[in-house]
Amino acid sequence: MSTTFDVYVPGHSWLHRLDPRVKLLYVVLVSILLLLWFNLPIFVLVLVLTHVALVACGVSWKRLGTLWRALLPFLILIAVLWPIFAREGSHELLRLGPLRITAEGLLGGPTTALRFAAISFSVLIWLATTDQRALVRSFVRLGMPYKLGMSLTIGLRFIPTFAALFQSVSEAQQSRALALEGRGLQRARAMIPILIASLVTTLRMSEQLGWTLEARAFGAPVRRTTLYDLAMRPPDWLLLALLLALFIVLFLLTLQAGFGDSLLRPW
Amino acid sequence: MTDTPLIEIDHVSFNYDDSPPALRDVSLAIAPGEFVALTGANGSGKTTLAKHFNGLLRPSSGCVRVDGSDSAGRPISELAHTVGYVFQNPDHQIFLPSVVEEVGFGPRNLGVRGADLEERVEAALALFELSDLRARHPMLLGRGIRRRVALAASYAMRPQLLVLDEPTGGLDRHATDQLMTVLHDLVTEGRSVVLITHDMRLVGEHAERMVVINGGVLRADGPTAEVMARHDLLHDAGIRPPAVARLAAGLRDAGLPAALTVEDFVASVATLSRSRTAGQP
Repeated sequence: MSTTFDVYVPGHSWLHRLDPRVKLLYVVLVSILLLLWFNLPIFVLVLVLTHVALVACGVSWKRLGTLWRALLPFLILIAVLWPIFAREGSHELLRLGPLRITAEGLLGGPTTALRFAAISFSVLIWLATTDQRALVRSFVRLGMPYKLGMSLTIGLRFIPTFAALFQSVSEAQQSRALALEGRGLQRARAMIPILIASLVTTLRMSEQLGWTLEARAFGAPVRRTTLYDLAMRPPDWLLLALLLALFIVLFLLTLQAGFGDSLLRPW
Repeated sequence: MTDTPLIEIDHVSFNYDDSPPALRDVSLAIAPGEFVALTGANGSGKTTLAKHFNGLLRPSSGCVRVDGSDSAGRPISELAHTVGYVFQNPDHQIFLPSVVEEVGFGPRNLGVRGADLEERVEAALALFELSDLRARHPMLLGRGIRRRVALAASYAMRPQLLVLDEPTGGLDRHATDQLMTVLHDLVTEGRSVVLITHDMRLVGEHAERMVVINGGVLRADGPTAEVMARHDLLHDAGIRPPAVARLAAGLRDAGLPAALTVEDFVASVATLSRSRTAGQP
C-alpha cells in the first residue's frame, strides 16, 4: 500500500528520459491553455492524448483508473453545481424562482469538470515519469536552495515510511485488544493510541535522522558535488523549442481568433 | 482437557499485494503448553506467519483456526483474548503517560476490572522489574526499559499464546534471562510461547520445538535437538546452530553426543572422561 503515495512509475520511455524542467514547463503551458479554453471537444482530445502518452510510458490503466476514482467526487460536484450558478446563456431550459438552468450551463458543467481532469492528468505526465530525486533536483537547478530541496526530498521519501509506521502501530495496538470497529467518536477515540505512538516514534526518527545527516557531513562548509546531475540534451532543447513554438501559436490563435472559446466548436 | 490446538495453520499461503507468495502452503499447529522457536533468515516469512496467529494478516488461501474456530471475520481485538503479540519495536505501542497505565491498557481492553486488574498489572510490573518506575513516563525511559514495558504490557493480558518478535534486541543479559524465566513460567502454567529470533543460543537453551521457515516454505518442524542436528537444512535456511552445538558435532568422532547448551556439553565431557578414566588400567 505504501507505494501508492508515490505516483512515479519507473521506466525508460522518452518521457522518462526528458529533462524534468521541460516537463514542468509543459505542465505550466498546457495548464495556461486549458484555463483559457472552454471547449468540450478540445478537453476530450487533450485527455485522450494525455492517456495515450501515459499508457505509452508504462502507466497502467489500473493506476489511471485510481486517479479517475479519486477525481470523480470533485468532477461530479463541479458538473452538478456549475449549471446552478452559471446563469448566462440564451437557451433557457428551466426557470424556478431565482434558479435559471440553461443549455449552456448544463453543458458547461461537464466541460469544466473535464478541464479539471485534463489539468490533473497533464500534471500526472510530469509526476508519473519523473522520480522524486530528479524532481527535486530540477527545483534546485531552477533556483531552490539546496537545503530546502533536501528537506523536500526527505519529506517525500518518508511518506511511505510513515504510512508503514502507522500501519505497524495500528497492528501493535490492535494486538492489545484495541477495537477499531466502532464509528464516529468511538472510532476517533480508538485512534488516539495509534496517533500518539506514531507521533512519538516519528519525532524520535526525525531526531535520529538529523544526527545521521550531520554524521554524514550534511552542511559541511565545502561546495557539494552531485551524483546525478541534470543536463539538457539536444532532444530536450528540441522539444523545448517545439513546445514553446506550439504554445505561442495556440496562445495567439486563442487571443486573436477566439480558438477554443465556444463550448462545442473550436472556433 | 481437550486436545484442540490453540492455533491451527491449515495449508496457508499468503501474498503481499502483487508480490510473489510470502508463505506457501504452510501447515502447523501449536498446542497449549508448547515453547516454540520460529526461525529463519531475514525475509523468510517468520513474521508473516506469526501475524496470521492473531489475524494481523489473513491468509490468501487456506485457513487459520484460533482456539478451534476459524479466525476469518473475527477482529484482531477479539483474537487478542487468546493471542498476545509483542512487536519488534516497543515504541510502536507505547502511548500512555505512565508505565503503570501502559501496562494496564491491554487488560482494560479485555474488560478486566478492579482487584483482578490491579493484581495483573502489579504482577507484570514486578516480573519485569518495573515496580519502581511505575509512575515514570515510558517514552522517556531507555530503550531496554521501554522493551520491558512492552513485554510487561503484553504479559499482563495473560494470553493463551504469547508471540514475541525478536524480543531480546536491546536487552542486556540479565533482562534476557529474566524474560526467559517468565516465558518458562507461562509454559508451566499451560500457556504457549512462540519466540521469533535469530539467537540460536536462546533457541537451543529454551525452546522445546523449533520451526524453520525459508522462502515462505516450512522446512522443518520438530524437537529442537532434532532440528538442530540437520546442519545442511539449517545452512540452506541461513541458520547457524549455536557454537556449542557445532563444537559437539565436531567432536562426534571423539564419542561426544550432540549438545545444545554449555551445561549439556560439560556434562557429556565429564561423563566421557570419567568412563575413559575408569576404563584405564
